[in-house]
Amino acid sequence: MNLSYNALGYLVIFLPLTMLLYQLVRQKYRWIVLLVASLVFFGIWSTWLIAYCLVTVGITFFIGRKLGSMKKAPEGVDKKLFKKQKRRILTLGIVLNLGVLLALKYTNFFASGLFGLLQKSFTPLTILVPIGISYYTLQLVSYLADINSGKIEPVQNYFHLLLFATFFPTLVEGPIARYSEIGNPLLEGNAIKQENVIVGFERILWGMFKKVAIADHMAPVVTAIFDRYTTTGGLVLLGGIFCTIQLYMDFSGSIDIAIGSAKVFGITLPENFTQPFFAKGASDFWHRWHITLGTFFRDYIFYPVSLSKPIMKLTKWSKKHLGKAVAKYIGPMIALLCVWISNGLWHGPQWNYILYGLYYFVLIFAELLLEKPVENLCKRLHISQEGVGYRIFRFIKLLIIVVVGETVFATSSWDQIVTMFTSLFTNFNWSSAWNTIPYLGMDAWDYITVAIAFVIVVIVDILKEIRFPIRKTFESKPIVIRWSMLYLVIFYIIFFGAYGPGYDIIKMMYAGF
Amino acid sequence: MKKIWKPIGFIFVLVCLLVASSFLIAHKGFEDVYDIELVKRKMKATDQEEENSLDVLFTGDSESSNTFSPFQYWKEEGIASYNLGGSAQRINDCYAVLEYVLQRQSPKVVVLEPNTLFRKNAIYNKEDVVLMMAEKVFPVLHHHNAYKSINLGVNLIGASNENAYADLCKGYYPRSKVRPYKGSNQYMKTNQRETTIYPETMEYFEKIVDLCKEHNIELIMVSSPSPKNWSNERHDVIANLCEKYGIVYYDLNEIDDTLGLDWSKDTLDYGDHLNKAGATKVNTYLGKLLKDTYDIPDHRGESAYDIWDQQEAQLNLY
Repeated sequence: MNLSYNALGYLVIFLPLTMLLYQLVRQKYRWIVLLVASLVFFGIWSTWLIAYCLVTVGITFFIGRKLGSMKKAPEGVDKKLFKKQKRRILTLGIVLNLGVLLALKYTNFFASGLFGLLQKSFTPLTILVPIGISYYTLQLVSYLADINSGKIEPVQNYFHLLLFATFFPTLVEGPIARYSEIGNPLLEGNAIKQENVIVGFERILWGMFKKVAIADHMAPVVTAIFDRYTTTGGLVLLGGIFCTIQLYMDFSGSIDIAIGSAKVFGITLPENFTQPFFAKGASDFWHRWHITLGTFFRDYIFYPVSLSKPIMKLTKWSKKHLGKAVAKYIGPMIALLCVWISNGLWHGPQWNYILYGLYYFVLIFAELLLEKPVENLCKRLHISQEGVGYRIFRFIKLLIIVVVGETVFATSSWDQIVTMFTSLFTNFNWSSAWNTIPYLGMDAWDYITVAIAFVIVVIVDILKEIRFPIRKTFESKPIVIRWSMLYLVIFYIIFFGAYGPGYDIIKMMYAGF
Repeated sequence: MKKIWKPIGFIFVLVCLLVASSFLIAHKGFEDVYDIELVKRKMKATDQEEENSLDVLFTGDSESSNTFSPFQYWKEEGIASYNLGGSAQRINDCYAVLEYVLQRQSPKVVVLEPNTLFRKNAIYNKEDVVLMMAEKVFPVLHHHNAYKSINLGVNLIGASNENAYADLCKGYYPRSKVRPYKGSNQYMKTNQRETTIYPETMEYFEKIVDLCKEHNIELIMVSSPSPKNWSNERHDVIANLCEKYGIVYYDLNEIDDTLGLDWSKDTLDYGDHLNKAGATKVNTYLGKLLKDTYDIPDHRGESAYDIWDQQEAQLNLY
């Protein structure tokens, strides 16, 4: 059975059946229904590979309990030594978790690099990777780190932790939730409430609209351009814009479905997108795009690296030898570099992802350096940074930054990156691109229906950005209007969605990470 | 308890709307069709042809629509033909179009390009069982893109050009792009392609065989050269099938050298389909073969076929 979040098998069988069973059993056993459903879901996606997850959760469970039992140094034990011991246990837990992730996802990448250095040939190994490993591993790492810092208490039941790691709405694409956010709600087993079901299914519907009526239509065009038209500059530009829109609609749409699915059970997942294209710059963009990954890296890499002893020492040394002005950037620069290399690597063992990470490192660090000078320059030139003109300039700048980034993200090799970006300057032939558009996989009807859906999403994003109370306004309308609007969205998806005859099944783009 | 009626009411209205829209969109006679948009377009396009004017019909998937060019056969041999093949067209859709066209046309020969026989699915996509079941219960889900057969009357950034142009070319998609095939010259030997013909496909293949018998038409199979799709194993499966049903089979992959195909120039997409240059070489050979072997009349110069000359001159394909 196809259990992609946008598949009917998930929406009309798996989710309703889980809801029914959840509601039928007694409150104290409801978390077991969620756990069984999550394991079945995991099993259908990855069969026996679930074993990796069971073992990783087991290790995390025991290490978490050990860390939880080490709150204070026992009397007579040296505090420093105790702290060191605790840190060692935490490190062991993190290394084991990341070790499994690295071994399964990155062995071929590192081995081919190593063999390349030794100038020896390497045949990639066939390694099967369980679904969602990049997501649940980060959740487990955050669980251990949060116990260590005293933010949460360790769970006393292995299966509670297993549910946290494998909860089916978050398993495939996140959002990467913290135990402090969803741990208790998962176990409370509160009865399903009608208002949650309504809010949840409306969110699911919105996600379906973005994924099926927009993203999946654009997929063949993006594939065609990145596979076959990498040397035609005009099409490369079109491919970059299309892949950016597709990725946003696909990923944020799938996250909407995940958040809606959890909401049905009264569980509020963290948001992963808040109108990213209204960001002020690259740094702000990442506060609005894949938020839970960004906050994970901020809390568990940026801060610890910035505040680590070697960095503090280096900053001190820099202050002395290079001056205050330079020294204040040393720590953030190294921490940022670690964050963005990790971000690139997290997406997968490919050079384009690492380049994608480094690209944002350079941009965000440049923003950090230029923030004050730009502010001063604007003041001197009497340009208001909140004025319409400046905001339009900022928006176009952001679009260019994001489209370039997503183009790098969507490529599959270094050669392809070079070919595509070179073609923008050496073979930017509009008429050739124009003539090829009909052969890319979307027809006139598709362009019209996708454009209408896209405009609707943009309008909703604008309303959200200006904090217009969309839900409140919607709920205040008479039932006939509310239902009519919902049926309109449903039938828009049914008639104009990219599914069934003439369309391939498009996987969720972030499910592979 | 009062609360429960709202969601039930919502779902009830939704089901009613699905039933109503399925009823409205239900196309009698299209129950066995997969891609209603493609099938309807083909039907509409062939309606433009004079009754009983076509002597040869071609059908199949994109291997057919990218190869067999009616206007080349016309120009070189005076053969009046039409290509009913379409991109990813399944055998049941080939049958639906052919059955419709045979109500107005009496061709001497039907040419089936057999690549479509190796497609896994027919009426439904069986990969998603739940969607398939839902499509059966609510046909609106299966034929949801039927609205696409409505001609928009606009050439929005040329997006509707491709199909319209193919219709003008009597079903042939002429494409000049060159993306060379760099694989083995012995692709028939080296290729490992799926050779299963699924029962549902066989069912519609037999229907085509019966339909041709019923209309006293010679059904032949012609494999268009395709380094990506064809192999010795596939050849053997089709050869055996043809032997069983008494069909003549021409595998042009076996004579790609004789045809003068140069895989560095004659393929549109790395050996998957022929481009116009490759198709032209194949059609010169096939046009002669059809005329000589099946006694297809030369209609050039006949007043009833003046329109063909006009159309050909307008397109200026060759």
